Amino acid sequence: MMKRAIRVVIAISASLGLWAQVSPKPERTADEMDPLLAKIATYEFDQSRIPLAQFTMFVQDSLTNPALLKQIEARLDRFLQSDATAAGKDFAFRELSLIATDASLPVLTPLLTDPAKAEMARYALSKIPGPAADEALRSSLAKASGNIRIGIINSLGQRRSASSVPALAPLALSSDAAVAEAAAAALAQIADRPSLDALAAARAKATGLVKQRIDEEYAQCAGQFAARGDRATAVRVYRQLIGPQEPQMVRIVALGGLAAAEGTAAIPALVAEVESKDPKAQAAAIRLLGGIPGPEVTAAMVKEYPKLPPFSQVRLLSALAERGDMSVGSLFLTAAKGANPDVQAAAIVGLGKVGDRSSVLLLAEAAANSQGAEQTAARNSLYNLRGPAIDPAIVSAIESSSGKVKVELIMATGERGSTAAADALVKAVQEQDPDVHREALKALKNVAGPAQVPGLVDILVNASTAADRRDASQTLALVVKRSQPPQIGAVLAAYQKNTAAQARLSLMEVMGQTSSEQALPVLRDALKDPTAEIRRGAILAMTDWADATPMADLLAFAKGTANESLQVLALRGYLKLVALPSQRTDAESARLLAEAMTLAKQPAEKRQVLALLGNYPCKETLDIAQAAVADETVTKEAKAAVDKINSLVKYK
Amino acid sequence: MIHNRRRFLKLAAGFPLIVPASALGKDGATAPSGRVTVACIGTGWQGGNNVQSFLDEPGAQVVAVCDIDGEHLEQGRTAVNRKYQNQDCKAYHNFEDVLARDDIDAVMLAVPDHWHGLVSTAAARAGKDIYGEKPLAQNWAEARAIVDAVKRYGAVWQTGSWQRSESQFRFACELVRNGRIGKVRTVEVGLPGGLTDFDGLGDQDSPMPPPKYLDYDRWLGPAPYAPYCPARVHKTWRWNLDYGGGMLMDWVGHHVDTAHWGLGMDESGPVEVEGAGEYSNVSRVWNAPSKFRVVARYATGVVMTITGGREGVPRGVKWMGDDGWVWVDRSGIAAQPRSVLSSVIRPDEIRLERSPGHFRNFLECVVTRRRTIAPPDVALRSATPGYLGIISILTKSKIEWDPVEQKILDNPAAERLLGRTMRSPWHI
Repeated sequence: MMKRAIRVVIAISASLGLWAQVSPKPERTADEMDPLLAKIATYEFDQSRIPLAQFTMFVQDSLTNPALLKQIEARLDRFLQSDATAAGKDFAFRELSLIATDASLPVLTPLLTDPAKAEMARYALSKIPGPAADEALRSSLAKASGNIRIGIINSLGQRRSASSVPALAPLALSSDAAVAEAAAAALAQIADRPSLDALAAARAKATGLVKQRIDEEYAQCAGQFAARGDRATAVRVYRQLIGPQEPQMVRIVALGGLAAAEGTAAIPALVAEVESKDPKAQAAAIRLLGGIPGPEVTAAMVKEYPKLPPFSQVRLLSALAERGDMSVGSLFLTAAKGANPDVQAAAIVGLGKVGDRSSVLLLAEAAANSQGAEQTAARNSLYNLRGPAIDPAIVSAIESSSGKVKVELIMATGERGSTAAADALVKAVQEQDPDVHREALKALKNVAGPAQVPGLVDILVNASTAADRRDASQTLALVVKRSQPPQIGAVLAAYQKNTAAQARLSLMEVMGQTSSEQALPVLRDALKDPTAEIRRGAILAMTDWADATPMADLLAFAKGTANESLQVLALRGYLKLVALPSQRTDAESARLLAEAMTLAKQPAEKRQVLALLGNYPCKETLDIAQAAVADETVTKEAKAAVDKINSLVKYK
Repeated sequence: MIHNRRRFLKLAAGFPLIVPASALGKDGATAPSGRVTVACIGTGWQGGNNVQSFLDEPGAQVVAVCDIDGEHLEQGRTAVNRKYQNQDCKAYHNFEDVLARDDIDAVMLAVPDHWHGLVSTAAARAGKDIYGEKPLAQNWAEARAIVDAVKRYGAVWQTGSWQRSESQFRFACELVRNGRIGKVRTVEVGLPGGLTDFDGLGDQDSPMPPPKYLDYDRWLGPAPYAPYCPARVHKTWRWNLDYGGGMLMDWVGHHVDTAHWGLGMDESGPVEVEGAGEYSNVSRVWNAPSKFRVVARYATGVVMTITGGREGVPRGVKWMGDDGWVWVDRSGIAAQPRSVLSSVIRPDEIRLERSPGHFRNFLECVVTRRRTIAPPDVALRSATPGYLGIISILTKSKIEWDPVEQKILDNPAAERLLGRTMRSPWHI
């Protein structure tokens, strides 16, 4: 119970004050520390962290107050020397890691070799900038042993303590492998000239695994020289490490450094590795070559290609493709027709980056004759081909191909948004091949423009299947909407010209989707058509409208018709338009919904009205809902609406 | 320091062979000898899911699992053996032993954040390709070390930022990158908040002996010593700043990564970050902020706000431009004007990489040595607003950041928090 009460208090107090951008910090004073530290002095891990969190916040608030920070640091140093709990001191070390200065060194330094406190003392001390902290760590090296000693070495490296190189250099020669490796890593982080020399000396004497590790650090150190602009030194080191006698990973690291430092001058060394028998080093060399710009590198890679086994050719093709150098297109075309399926696949993937118009048919054929991942890759490459000649090449290929290949080319035009293919696609829709017909219709959605509207209208009115009508109407609607001004005239003219019910229904669907004002008179006439089917089509088209303009038409129809199913359809359409975003007042919306309620004969429509009432919370909608409570068929929904409106009205 | 007791085997036995799978990962059966051999290090929560993902890939052969929790380890081994209908999966306690195997091509790493830097760099050094969970590391300095090691050792790396392999995220980013909403001014990133008590063990936050099946000291690894309790480990470690970074860092590798992808910020970053956080302070162990708001400003003028645990901020990423907005989340994509969603991205525009699936992309790149769709340098950039956000919260200061040199400007206290001091003998 108490724990729960405390939790409530804590949650409330914690919710105050921090929810903002970094706001001006509260004024803190030194006398806040002692009460908190008194609690922290007895802190154990099974206790509440509240005092710790409060002290942390106190420190955070004080970070821009140097005078107070000094007092905090001094107080924490005294805390470490008190008889506070280990857990409490652990916390103090953590806080000191953020703020400690040289002033804390007299307290922290002796603890660096205290087995119980060494780790956290180093945790705090390692963050103190400057040479004095380096000296503190260094002076503890000789006194430390085991992991503590290694920890100090690690910290000297992390601090990039150049003054510690004389102390670290002999440790890189230690017979203790862990010490030697730690010292080598530290020297590589420091990466000045003496460090490099120390690593060179160490590698000359080391053997086995330790030597390999030192060699890696030697290369790492050279990398720092290269980063600072001293490429000559770096290259000298790398060239020592790329010989065939060196371990594989050392060669790989050195080759990487060489490639970065020398660029094209590294080609011979990289090519030598490409021609080696070591698959991993070869793979690395291929990748590294791929990262060096310039036509001479491309030429070198192309020259190596025929010498390689298939799995290496895969890698080389991938690396060439990443370069995006289109001069290698012919190599990829040849590889795509080769015997090895893996190489073929890599070439097809790569053509997406380096292919040109001559790749179009090959990729379409590859897509047509494969499945799964291979088909996806061929399609992606076809869709990604770049350059002004590609779309015309695809159009030309559409006209001269057939079957699955033609289908793939047609799909590509849609994916590419190739407006140049629009006329060819309109023509393709007329073909007997059902796949060609279907895909051409789909692709036109992305491709057709105002010039294709007449053709699309013809397709729509002559469509023989529901799927075709759907695709054609969606496509035509999209194109009409995209055109500026909207090309609705052709649709309206076709409506007047075509008396067949199906054609008219399809055209009305387009009118609804495009919501063009010019279409409204046609639809209003259609509402009076003697054929129920046409009247129905007009209702659906108006229901699809993008704004509430036809709302009054649908309401009038719902009021005047004797056809029950059409009445319901019109009422539903009316409600859909009422629900569209508008600038009406809630009272005005209420009036519209009241009209609907009087017309709603079935529970389903009444529920629809009740569901909308809550969107317009006011007295008028409340009245409607309350009146509906008496209707047993919708009592539950009416009560829910009443509750919702009441709760919303309260907040207005 | 990594003690690799069996490293000599690699030197003595010859070079590792990589027998490539089909470059595209053929559907259907692939002979075991044609698969990429994978070892899974960390087979608990996310690790267990990743094990299954690799088992579902015909181009991969999982040959080993590794975990310092004996129960997780056995679950991992059982899952692998069940899939392959044999008992061939080897189980390891120490990741060093896994990395010493020359026959393993790649590793999946799903260890707690505070271990990411150590295991990842060791794996790269051992010549392994790596599928590594996000965020890249527990702190910026270790994340940077991973980037450097992967580059130095020529490893293929995939970050577990799988949204990059999902078409709706890619499409959303393409719409933004290709100007469909005009010049982007602001980005809202909505993340979960709170400190979720996933397994209901949050109340178990008093010290107690660790279970026998858990090597707790190794679990702590480079983190400062703290006594074991169930609330400290498995799943909820992410709520303690010694091991994770709260919800902010848990999700930065997803939605901030997507935000950056859409902004074209994969090679850059913010110039200024400031954050504020709120703490519940109820738990004895969980000290990450339960609510937060981080504002990152970019040199382009874009302002990105990352919010967690706040009502009214929808999850996901919303880019807002002069001509509209695009929003995307795992549940869908929306835009204003709606017609933006009908856009076709043409070949001459920015077309972002299509991925066949996040694990499939990794395996393909292991074979081809191409860059993956979520490489580590990009992961570092994506996580940087999070790292700086946490630092801002912990120092209550605005962080000025140089995205070219990747350093904090004029804020010594904040600089101290870019990296951490590891418990010995661990170091990168």
